[in-house]
Amino acid sequence: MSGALWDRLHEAWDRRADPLDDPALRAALEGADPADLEAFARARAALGAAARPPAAPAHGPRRGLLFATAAAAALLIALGIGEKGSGPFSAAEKGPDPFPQVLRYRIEYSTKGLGRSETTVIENGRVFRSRTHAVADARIEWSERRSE
Amino acid sequence: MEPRGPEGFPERVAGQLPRVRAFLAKLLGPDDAVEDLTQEVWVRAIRSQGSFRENGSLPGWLLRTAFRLALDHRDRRARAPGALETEPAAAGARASAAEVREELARALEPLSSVERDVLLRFHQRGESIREIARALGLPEGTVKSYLHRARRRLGGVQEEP
Repeated sequence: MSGALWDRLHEAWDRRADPLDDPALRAALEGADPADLEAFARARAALGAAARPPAAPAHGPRRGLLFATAAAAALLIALGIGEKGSGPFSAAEKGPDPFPQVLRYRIEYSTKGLGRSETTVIENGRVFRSRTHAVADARIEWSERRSE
Repeated sequence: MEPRGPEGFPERVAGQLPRVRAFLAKLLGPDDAVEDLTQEVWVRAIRSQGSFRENGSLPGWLLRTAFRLALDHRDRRARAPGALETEPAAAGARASAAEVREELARALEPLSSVERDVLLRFHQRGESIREIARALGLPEGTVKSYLHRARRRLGGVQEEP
């Protein structure tokens, strides 16, 4: 590959840009020799791999968070909590229990980010506790029982 | 019936397809389209075999065709409704963590320790040239040289251009 073309590739990568987003560079690459095209593809693939953040552990908090968030959301929806456009907790905070005398439930979930996590407990449609603290994992627990 | 090309043309094209497939896989990452695009390169080559010049570079023609098809595919994917991100990030998201680690380890093998350090600081940790220079106690120009040489080595280029 010509030094001039490499210089242009470096210039793009120095800006943390993808050379394939630059029409002039794309055109220059289209005219490159096969070995140069392959060298570019190898370098770009390796830089892409280097730029990816280290993966979370397979059973680490992120997976737990995803599960907990999805499960909590699904349960809230199933329970009919929340009003259109207000978010799932608004109705719980301001309104009456959406299922008075019918359903008792408790949801606890944690969100984790940047080393801090927020745990929220919703009980019978009201936010029971919300605080920020450090936790090692995300979890969801709930129970329900019908009123007698 | 397509006009016939040079003697043994289909076989020569077929012999290059693993190289084309590997090139597309590097360019697009783990993308389901790699196989389809490799097939498309094959189809285009066979269709235009009558016009292929014997003194032309068959690998060059095939890889340039693959490159153009990959760019078209990449553009279509970026424009697709619901496309949240473009590769390589999207492609990387589909690769397993182990695959990414192995791919990166293999790519970094030819680099010296300082080249590897500079490259990862810049591309993985997002440090600036100035920050790297300060951390390693090197002039900024030297850091940039290491970075550029590391990238060329990732591409398999051994000599200074």
